[in-house]
Amino acid sequence: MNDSLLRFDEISRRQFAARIAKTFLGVSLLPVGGAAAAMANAPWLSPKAKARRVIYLFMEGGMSHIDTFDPKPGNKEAQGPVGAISTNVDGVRLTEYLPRLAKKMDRIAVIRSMSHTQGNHEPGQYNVRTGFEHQAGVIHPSVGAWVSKLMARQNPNLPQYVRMGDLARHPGSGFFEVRHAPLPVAKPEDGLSNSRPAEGVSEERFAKRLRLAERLDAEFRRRYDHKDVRAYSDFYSDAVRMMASEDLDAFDLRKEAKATREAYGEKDSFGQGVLLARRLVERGVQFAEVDLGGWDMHTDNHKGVSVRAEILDRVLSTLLDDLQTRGMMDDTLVVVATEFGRSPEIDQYLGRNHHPTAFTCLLAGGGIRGGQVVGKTSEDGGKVIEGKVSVLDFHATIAHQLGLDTKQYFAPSAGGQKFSIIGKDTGAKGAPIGAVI
Amino acid sequence: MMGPRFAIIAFGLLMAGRVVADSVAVVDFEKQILPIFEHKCFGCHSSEIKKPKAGLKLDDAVSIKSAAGPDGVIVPGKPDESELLRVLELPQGDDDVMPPTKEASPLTKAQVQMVRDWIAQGAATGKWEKHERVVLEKIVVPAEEARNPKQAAARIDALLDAALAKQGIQPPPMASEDTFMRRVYLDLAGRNPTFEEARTHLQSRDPGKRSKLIDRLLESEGYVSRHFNYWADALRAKSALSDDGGGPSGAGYMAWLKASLRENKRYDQLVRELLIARGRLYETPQTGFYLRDSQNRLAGVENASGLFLGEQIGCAMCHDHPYDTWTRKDFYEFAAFMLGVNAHTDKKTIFQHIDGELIEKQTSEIKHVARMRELEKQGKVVPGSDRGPDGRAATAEMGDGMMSSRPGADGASLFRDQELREQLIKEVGGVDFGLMTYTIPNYGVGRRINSPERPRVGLPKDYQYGDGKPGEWVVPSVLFGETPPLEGRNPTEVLAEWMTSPENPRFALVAANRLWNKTFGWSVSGPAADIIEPEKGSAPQLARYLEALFRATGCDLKQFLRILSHTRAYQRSAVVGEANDAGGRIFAAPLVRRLSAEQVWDSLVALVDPALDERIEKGPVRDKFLDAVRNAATTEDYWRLMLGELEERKAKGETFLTQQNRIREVKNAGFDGAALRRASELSQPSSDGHFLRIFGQSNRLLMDNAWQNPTVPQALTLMNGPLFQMITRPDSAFNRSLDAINTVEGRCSAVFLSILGRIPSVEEVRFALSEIQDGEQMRYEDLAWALINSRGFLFQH
Repeated sequence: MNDSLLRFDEISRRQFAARIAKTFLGVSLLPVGGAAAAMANAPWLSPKAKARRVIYLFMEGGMSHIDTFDPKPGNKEAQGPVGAISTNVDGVRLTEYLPRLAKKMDRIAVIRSMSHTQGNHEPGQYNVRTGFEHQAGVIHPSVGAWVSKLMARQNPNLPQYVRMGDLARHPGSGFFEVRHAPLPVAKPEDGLSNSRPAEGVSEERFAKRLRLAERLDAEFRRRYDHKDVRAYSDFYSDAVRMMASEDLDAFDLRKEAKATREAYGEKDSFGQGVLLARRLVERGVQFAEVDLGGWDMHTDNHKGVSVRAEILDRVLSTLLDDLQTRGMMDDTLVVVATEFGRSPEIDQYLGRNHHPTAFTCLLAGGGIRGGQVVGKTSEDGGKVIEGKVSVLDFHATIAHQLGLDTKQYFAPSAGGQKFSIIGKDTGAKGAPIGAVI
Repeated sequence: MMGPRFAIIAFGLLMAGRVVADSVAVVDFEKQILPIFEHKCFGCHSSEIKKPKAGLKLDDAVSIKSAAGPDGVIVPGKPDESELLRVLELPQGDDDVMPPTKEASPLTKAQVQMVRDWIAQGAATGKWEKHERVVLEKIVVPAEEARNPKQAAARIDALLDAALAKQGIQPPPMASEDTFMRRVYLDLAGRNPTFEEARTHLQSRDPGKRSKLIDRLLESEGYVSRHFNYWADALRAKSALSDDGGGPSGAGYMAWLKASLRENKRYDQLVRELLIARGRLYETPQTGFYLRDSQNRLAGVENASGLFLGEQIGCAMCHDHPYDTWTRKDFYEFAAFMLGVNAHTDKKTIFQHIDGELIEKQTSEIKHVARMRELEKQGKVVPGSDRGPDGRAATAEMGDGMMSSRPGADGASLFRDQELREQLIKEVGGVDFGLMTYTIPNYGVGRRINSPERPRVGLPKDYQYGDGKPGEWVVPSVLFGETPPLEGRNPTEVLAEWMTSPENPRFALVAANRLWNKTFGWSVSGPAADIIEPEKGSAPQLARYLEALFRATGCDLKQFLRILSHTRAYQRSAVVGEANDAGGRIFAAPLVRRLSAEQVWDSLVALVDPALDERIEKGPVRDKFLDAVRNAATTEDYWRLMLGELEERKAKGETFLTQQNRIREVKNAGFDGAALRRASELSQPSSDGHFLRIFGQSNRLLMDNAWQNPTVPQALTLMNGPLFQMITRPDSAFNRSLDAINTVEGRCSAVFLSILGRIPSVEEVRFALSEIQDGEQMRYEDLAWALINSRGFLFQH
């Protein structure tokens, strides 16, 4: 992001927006009055809702639950070379890789009984991100897209769903309209790049160019009326709308205090991503998603996990404190998910294998009752023995805190199967986890 | 091999018609029920499957009889008591519905009624004994036909048109000359034609110009660049070979790939070389194929199976595959070929004269001291100790995941020359971590593949089935067909032989299917990495012909593409449609689709740099610096070499060291020649936030991982990004093309031709000129901007 941010003052932005509106057919222009006005009345918030936004952290690669949130100190063979430490909640232990979170256990709900059947990365991630397994001919929406679809928009100047990262193999908006797909931010440190016209291009000239583009392209769009072609037109108008947005600086991490940036980890892309997520949801983005990769330890598992866990420990604790300080803890749901856990067996490469039958996810804030563990796994961490939680149950919990209508069904194709955020029209539905809501 | 995956729509319609007409007619098992079983059930319930699901087989009369009976799944005469019918009638999405929702689309109501009637009438099978798999006559393509593009293309057209006619699909009209030209440039050379190239082609009166253009593009450097992108995506080739962004450099491996494409190495030869690769990465770059997965060996096996055989065996890594033939033991027996290869790091022998371990310890010392001093400066460490003011060990403060280590047991320095040590600490402290990985000697140089280091491979520790014990040695065994003799041979050689053998039923089919999909945007035989038997698809003869043709060309990638480009199908107007490879959907022409990230980037950079294609990396790389390093006489010599290299790179403005890759982001100011190269010449993949990644370039973590979804950042980048500034500089290729033209109409048309690859209409020119006129001047850059920001640029048609 460059300093031309400063050039675009209030008045010129409005002029720009007005000019564009005349050019770009179909762009519904932003209400003057800004974000604060939009958020004050909250018709989008269901009376039952506790949370109004989600920060979703995805541990990509399969986070070993035994080496993080579900230690097995009584089973040396399964546990390997990592010890367990006590937390500020009696009777609950985490591994020694998570010292900071151990001191905040009272604010977190640790769900140790997550379970599904997909042991490969792609199907596993798909399952956790959407709640459903792969199905011929359908791409299900990711949970962020569900939130975008079911919640009325809070801030028309910002996208509803933002993701730090790219869209490779991400279900995105699934069968919903593409406007429910996440806006990908490639590098949090750079914010939303190229959001101002280039140097030397006045608003007038920009509008003129845009008009010319629309006119010259009309024939192509008419001839090749394909949903992908149309989608690009939608995104162009979205992009122009973003350019005229009053809340663009929400993407600018330089507006944060240096101390804050350092607390999250100045050189740490994940940390800066989570900080940006906090910043964005504060301004009205409803679902901000950040991935932390590198958890797929097929070799040297403990060495790898200690590094990953340190990052998660630092960043998540900082986030919880940050939200607390800003009075956002009660209405911001923090979710930590992963595609599966890892096996109790440590193999000859000192790695752990994929393990979907038991793994751990976390919930905090947004009205979630922290300081507890949900469910139990066997003494080697391999099986769920109590309180099994399906991904749909997990999503039902998220939906419950956000006050979303879980009875709204959508069908990808006319007359076909219907889906809600908690299940298919036929088949089992997810139920919120009673202990945490 | 694969379960049935799609409805035979025509069949269903036919059946519906018949049911309406004669609702009480006697059901003919062979004509009416057998096709349903074949397409919807045999995938799991036939003798093709090692363990038919629920022990039920439906492909021979005896098995059906034993499934029938008062307690069976078929109760003759009593459809409502028949389990078979019950599961067919369950609602979609039910856990027990047949066929499983994941596997195939459901039976139509008419088909279910048919089965109901059949059971009601006694579930007889008449004279039918067993299902004979439809095996098409083996197609042999004579060598002369494979050498004659027009002849082979005509055969392809005949077969495709027949398949289309069966479905009543009308072909669109032929594409215009400029449309064809742009299409073939993008497909074969990876970018739009330049203005000069376009004008030359369009003005030529040579009736054979299309053929000549195809030939020229196949021999061009553009071919190498474009197909490098394609195969790198398939192989997940990267500049840093490990998934975590570190690991040995893949530069040599990728240069080898480019050279192989340039010389048009036979595809089977290329695959063989990958599979049997062994030696030092530095000297045998194709060992990068194994080193890519050194941290996750099983992923390497899974990817090889998908890429070369079109078989998804990943699920069988952990358990017997629910819907397919692969058991977990099958997986490990197959994996045994590749798992026996050892990716080995050899610190001692990479240096000819000095001690590699000492170098590594010295490296640690420098890192440690530099970091400590920095922490002292920040007040986080008490000077002279390595503890913080609170007494805690400072190692926790290292951050960045750096695991520090101390120099020597008693803290004594390992350097004889303390001045040298000081210099190194000063240079290194504050320099990117990249320098440190470079100084660790094993990267790129010491890595070695040895096969077989581990001649025997065992079942995993958690093996759960009765047919083997955890840790038990497995005998390498191929997925299908006969395993060639192993005695006294390197297992990877055996694997390579089997994989590429003319007898292997998959190798050529998968390759041909891939190349067809790349050319047309849709497949003839299922998804690229999840092939479907041609007989179960919508164009079985075409698929079999393509397979035989690929073989007949000698696995010649260029020749095969040449032939495809000569087909009438390829030269038709593009069609709008949704590809459904798993569903066997076929089309009459290439699909309208978005350009790949690399095609967008390369087309734009071509507007800046007229000599773009001359800058494509030529040969396998050997770094002079590495040679010097290997031959260093003393450790001091080694370190001085390091300092010299660091200085040299600093002078060039680089802040990090990666072997052979001198890559920078596009900067706002200045024509940065190094960064404005074709995608194939940049870091693989490019970094997060780079134009290429914004437009969906694969991150190379999974096979075929590129994506084309529209996003807001893409629109912002094209509208406001710095690349456009480069295009409008006076010395850009774009402006130089315009300067050479005298009339405003001509210049205006040149802008259209440069960016959209097409000739504008008279009205378009008139309109554009009226819009871009600004007093005396014509603002051609406004027109350029408008065209770059149109769908006509982003999409291929």
